[in-house]
Amino acid sequence: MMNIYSRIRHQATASKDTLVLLVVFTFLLISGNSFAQDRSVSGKVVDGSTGDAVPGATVVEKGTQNGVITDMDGNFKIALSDDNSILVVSFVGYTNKEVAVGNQSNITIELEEDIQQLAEVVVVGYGTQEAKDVTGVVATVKPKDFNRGAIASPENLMAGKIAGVSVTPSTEPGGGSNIVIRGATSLNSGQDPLIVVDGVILDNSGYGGGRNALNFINPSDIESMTVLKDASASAIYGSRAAAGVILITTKNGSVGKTTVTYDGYYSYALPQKNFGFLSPSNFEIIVGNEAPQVLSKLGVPDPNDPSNRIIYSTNWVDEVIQPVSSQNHNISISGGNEKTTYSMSLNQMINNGIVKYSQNKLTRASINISTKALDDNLKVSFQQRISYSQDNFSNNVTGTALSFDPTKPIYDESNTSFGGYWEWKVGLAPANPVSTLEQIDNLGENLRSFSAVNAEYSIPFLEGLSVNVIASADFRNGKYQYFRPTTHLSGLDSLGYMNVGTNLGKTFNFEPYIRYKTDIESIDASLEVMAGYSFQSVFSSSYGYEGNNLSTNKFGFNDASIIDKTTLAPWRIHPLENQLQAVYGRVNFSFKDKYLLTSNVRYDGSTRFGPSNRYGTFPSVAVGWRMLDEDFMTFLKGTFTDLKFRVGWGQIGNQAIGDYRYDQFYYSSTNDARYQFGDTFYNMLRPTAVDRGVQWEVTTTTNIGLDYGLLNNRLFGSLEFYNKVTSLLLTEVPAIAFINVGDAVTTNVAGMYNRGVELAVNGVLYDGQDFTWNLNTNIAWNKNEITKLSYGGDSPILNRGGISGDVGQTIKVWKEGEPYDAFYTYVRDPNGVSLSGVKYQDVDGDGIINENDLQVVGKPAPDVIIGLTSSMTYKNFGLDFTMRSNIGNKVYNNTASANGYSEQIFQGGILNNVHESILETGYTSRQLHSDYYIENGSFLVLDNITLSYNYNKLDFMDARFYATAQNLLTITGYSGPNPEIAGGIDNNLYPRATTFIVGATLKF
Amino acid sequence: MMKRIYIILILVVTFISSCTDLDLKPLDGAGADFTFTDVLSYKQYMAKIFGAYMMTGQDGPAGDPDLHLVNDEGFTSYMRAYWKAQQITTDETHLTWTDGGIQDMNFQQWTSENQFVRVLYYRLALIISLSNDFLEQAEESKLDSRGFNASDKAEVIGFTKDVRFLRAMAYWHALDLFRNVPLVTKITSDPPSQATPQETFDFIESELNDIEGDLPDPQFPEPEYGRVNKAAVWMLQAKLYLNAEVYISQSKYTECLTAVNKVINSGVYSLNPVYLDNFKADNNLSQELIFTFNSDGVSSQTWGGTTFLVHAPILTTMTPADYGVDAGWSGPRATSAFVNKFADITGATDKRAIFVTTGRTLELPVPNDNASTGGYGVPKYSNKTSGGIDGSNQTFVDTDWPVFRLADAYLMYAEAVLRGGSGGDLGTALGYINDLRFRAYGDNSGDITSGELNLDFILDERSRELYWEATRRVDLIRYGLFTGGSYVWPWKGGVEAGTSTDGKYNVFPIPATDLSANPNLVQNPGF
Repeated sequence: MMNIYSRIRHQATASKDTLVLLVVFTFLLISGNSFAQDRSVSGKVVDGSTGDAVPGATVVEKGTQNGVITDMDGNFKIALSDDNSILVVSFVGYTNKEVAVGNQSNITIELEEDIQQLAEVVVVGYGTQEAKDVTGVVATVKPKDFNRGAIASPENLMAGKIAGVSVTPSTEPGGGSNIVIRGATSLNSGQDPLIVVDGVILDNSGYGGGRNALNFINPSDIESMTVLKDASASAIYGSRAAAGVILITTKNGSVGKTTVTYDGYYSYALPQKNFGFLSPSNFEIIVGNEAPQVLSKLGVPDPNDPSNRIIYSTNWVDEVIQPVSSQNHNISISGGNEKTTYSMSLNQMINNGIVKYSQNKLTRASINISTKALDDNLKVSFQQRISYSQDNFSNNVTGTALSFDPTKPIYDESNTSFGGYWEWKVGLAPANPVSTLEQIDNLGENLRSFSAVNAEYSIPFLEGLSVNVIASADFRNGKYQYFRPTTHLSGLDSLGYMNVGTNLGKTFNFEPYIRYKTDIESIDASLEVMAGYSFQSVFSSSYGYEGNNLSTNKFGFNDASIIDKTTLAPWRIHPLENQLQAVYGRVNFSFKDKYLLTSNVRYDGSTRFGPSNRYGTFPSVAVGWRMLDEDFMTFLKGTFTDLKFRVGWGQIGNQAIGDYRYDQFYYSSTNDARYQFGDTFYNMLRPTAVDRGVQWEVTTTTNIGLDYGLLNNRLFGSLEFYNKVTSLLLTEVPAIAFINVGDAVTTNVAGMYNRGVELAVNGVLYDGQDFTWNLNTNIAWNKNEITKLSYGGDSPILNRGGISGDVGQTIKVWKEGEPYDAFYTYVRDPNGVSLSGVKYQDVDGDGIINENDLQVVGKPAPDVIIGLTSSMTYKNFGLDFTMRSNIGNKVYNNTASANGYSEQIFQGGILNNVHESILETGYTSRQLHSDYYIENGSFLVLDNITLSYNYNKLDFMDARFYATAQNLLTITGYSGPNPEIAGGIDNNLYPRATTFIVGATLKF
Repeated sequence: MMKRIYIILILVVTFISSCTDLDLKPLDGAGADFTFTDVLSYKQYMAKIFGAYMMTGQDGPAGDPDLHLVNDEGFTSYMRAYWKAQQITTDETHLTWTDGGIQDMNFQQWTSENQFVRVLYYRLALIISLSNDFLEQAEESKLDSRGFNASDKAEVIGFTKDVRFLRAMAYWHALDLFRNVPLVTKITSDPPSQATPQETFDFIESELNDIEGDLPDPQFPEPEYGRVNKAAVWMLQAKLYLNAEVYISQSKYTECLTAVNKVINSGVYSLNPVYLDNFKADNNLSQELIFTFNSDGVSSQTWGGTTFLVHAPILTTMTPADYGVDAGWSGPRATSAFVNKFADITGATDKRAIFVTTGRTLELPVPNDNASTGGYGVPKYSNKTSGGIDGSNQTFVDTDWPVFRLADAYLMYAEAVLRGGSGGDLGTALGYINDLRFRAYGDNSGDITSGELNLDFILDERSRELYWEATRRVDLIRYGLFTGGSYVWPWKGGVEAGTSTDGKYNVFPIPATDLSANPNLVQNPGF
């Protein structure tokens, strides 16, 4: 009675739950029945939440070896030994389920998705591992947690999702991100993490003609992204893992019916434009106040009355930065049978930029096929990705637009030799920014083809042994076209200019490896051993031509013959060629399922080092202890569902320097750098300046971590402490003069450390019938310091970070005892010594303000990075948002410093708009190195917020409709438009947009 | 079963065959033995050492720099940095740019972090190292092992004389600018210590003496314009000896006169009747020039060298097209102290006074405003030919850098005689000076009398004749007027009226970067 009652009640409320109750009801019926007529039972295994069939699930009679696997439709039939048999049903991603068969002949078994992270399978280097066995620091982001929005590039999907992983998205259309994992590991080489796609190590050398090499991967093709943060996890990728590893796993089809998914959106981007320059009317006032002698230069002469001037009011920024719409369409098809599964996608994405005409257009196609052969012992996966990108790089004229005199008109029809645009035509005056945008072509395109095969052969006569091969070929072919017509002002005149180039990159990988996995039952242990070989070869070359004095503008860059022959110059970049080979191995040992040990070693060789230093060994070892399984910990079992303590240590390498830095080679100069003897010009031969002893850079990481799960895993996460010490840092440092054929050599002198704490807290805040709320937060603190920079002489001060406002000026420094890329400025002091009218601290007390008085005043890297993702559902509605925050980072406001002084109002013979900071500082001359411009760049940004609705009342289609806003809200004390700047120098950057998106996902 | 074994065998074979020795070689460059196989390759290496004085790298005008410790490649031209060091630190020139370290050069306030000091130092070190490497590659044993025949060998050995001259000149500059520098004459990997000024002086002297006899006699026109001849050696000797008191506290005016006499008495050189033709796009035709570093707008492109020298002095009130170029960089300008060296600044009498005064003021109230109309323009260098035709390119110039010219020999002759050197006489000296004055005035109206010929007059006449030719700092130091308070000019010491400066600024500091790299170095006093 009670059962029936329940069933009716639930039918009335949510149809989705009907099935759940059906099963419960069935169980009760079964348990209440003691008949046993048949020794076999058939049934179906379904997903408890969706009701979809689960093919490939294992159904085993408990306590026996008797088992079957469900077919494509989730059906199974199994012979039973006993009426009291219990079936154990298992499948990856679901919790195991035990079902008493009783007298049933046909049962439907529902599997519940495993919400506990513990049973998840994690992708690690060269294989997978159950999360519960992982001893390194590994974090995974799945599509349901990906950032929403108009995202062209894979890495943006995980911004803010993983503790200690800083992803600074590009503001340009289709632009890539700056990724820093646990602080800057290296100086100028190898800062970027290694990216591995389905086991293939990427190398983007020779990529050109596009904004982001990673755009060849369609974000909707991605199954998961995994970050290996510490050396014990990443040492298996030894040579290039120093800055961390990102493993991208792409989607493959699953057994079952063919699914066709359409996903598309339309987006509208609004620029964020609070640059802080004077409005046209305020500009007139300040000219009157600060430079009254040039009031007569405001506006332009009235053609009808030369004694009168017409003063225009032009908002140049509005002319060059405008709202714009974009769209994306994606179709994917996936499916398969027991032998073969496939997944295909076709994507067309048009990303328009808010700087007028700037665009990134992506056409991407992919196919993944997996098939089994040789009695299912051989599994071969093949993938082919083709991406074609077209970029309009639209010269970023933001800087010129900000400072261009707002009292001038955009057009001047009489100025026909300059295309009808108004121009100063004085000295070094910049060209009209609208003319630059409208007249100059700055285009690129890139075609990338990525093919990979993964084959796994399970040796049938030795259980647990498999042989694997990964092979890939990756081609990148880019083209770059720049055309400036003769009607564009450049200098005082214009002769036109054209530059066309092409580049080719090729990468080949070959990685055979074997794996052996066995249980050693006698001691209740399991062992997995893996060993392999890796070979990668990379080649890239780039060349083109440029020239000016164009004879016509008619055909743009398509006709090279319009270049004046005397100015035509071919150019090239030295071809790059390098190879790596390695042998590597791993042992995973698990004892009593409580004590875990993982050890990796990779012996890596690179063509970039000389014969005696060519190979490096990168070992790691990590242990894990699943504490909760100890008898003496049982008292915690009520509160905790998981508690794992981990300690890892490892060393990883870095070889990201140019080729052939280990020996002196002679190269010839180009034809425009020749020297004349008599009537003949001689190309010049130059040897390279090298340190013949250059060797692998080594990063040693120690990590102590704790994985926890509380309250039946409604609260789970991890806490990590790490110390990452980089020694033998590869960087270009001053060479000892007089004995070297250059002023700098790439060598291993420096040292640096990063220390930090990371905490991830994931909570299921509410899990009701209609309402669910999940909240994931992560917070990471990192401290970085350069410990060594010289080989024994005085500690050097190496200037870094070029800024605008002057030629050759820098604002950052590398200095022992200071953080990487620290800002280095004069510090204002009312009692100090004057420099061009501003008083600064005279550090050395010599009465002069010069380089010796510069001081470190902060750094661009944050102390603390926070990410927060909230995901709520109410019935068919969903509300998701992601917030990111950086704390403790400084920004150098170069836009203000280059334009915030009154001499600029009339400088170079022209009027220029100035930055509003002038009203506060009163600076008359440029104070590029004033600490005034170092601002607190801490921020909290609402990265994306999405409201969605699932409509699944139709038989043939599931639909999801959504509206997203990106960068809707930023809280910051920074005075410029956007504090989130990789490198921390705000200098004529591509402005950020707030983007609104509406889209739909239709699944057939 | 056999099938399975085959599969495993294939995998094993693939694995083994795929191993490589990872020994790649560059595709467009090579090691020394593979590079230096003919005379041309040595000539191309020699070309680099000449070019290292003017150009900035292997890709014109920029893109593959020689130096990496300075942010902007254009700054790293030796000639550009040397010109700044010799001019903007003095009473002749003020540079209004605000690039890091420029104003410190104007004000005599530079530090060991100054990027232009870094350029001077590392360029000289580079020229010296390249020379040492060249000389090693050109050793007879190497030439033999590389299969050179006797005539090819002789030609390469001829190149070594040019290279040794270039190295001696770099050491002279190093001695003059930094005084205490490492003396490295062979390729080594040992961090060097500094030599005494005497040791460096002796090395330059002995090198010049050694190569003098092997170099060709001067002729006009030269068979291979741009190469080194005996006269270049004599001029460098004269410079070294004239300033010997500064370097080693010994007077060598007699030796100076010996060298200068050889130049003058060779009879090859004569004053160009048109003064400014020495500084034009076709100045290779001038019989007054003794040694030049060559420039070409198409084939030798750089943002330094003479391209800098033509563009930079074109101020906002001047017209770039008048000087055969497409833009002015609004940089160096005359100080009033320099303008006042001329009694008549209009050029009506002394035609060397070429000041651009229209729309400009004599004084410069703001030291760092490019667009300022303060300071007169000095368009000495031009990319137009003597016939008024533009050079081959309007951005990069054809004008060669006149390193040594006859007028300087005349002035050195007179000064060495006045300072007591033997081998010359006052009468001849007066004649030489009046030759210069005759050319400047176009007649005898500017001639001076023997009573007017004294050291102070020579210093001023050097300024009127050799202004903006990168000799002023050396001259003022020789006269004891560069630092200190006995002679001040606008913005010396960082104030408009000019003020006394510390004597330590007579030399430049060793860059901090090299002190960090080489623990054996000692900083110059006071820095």
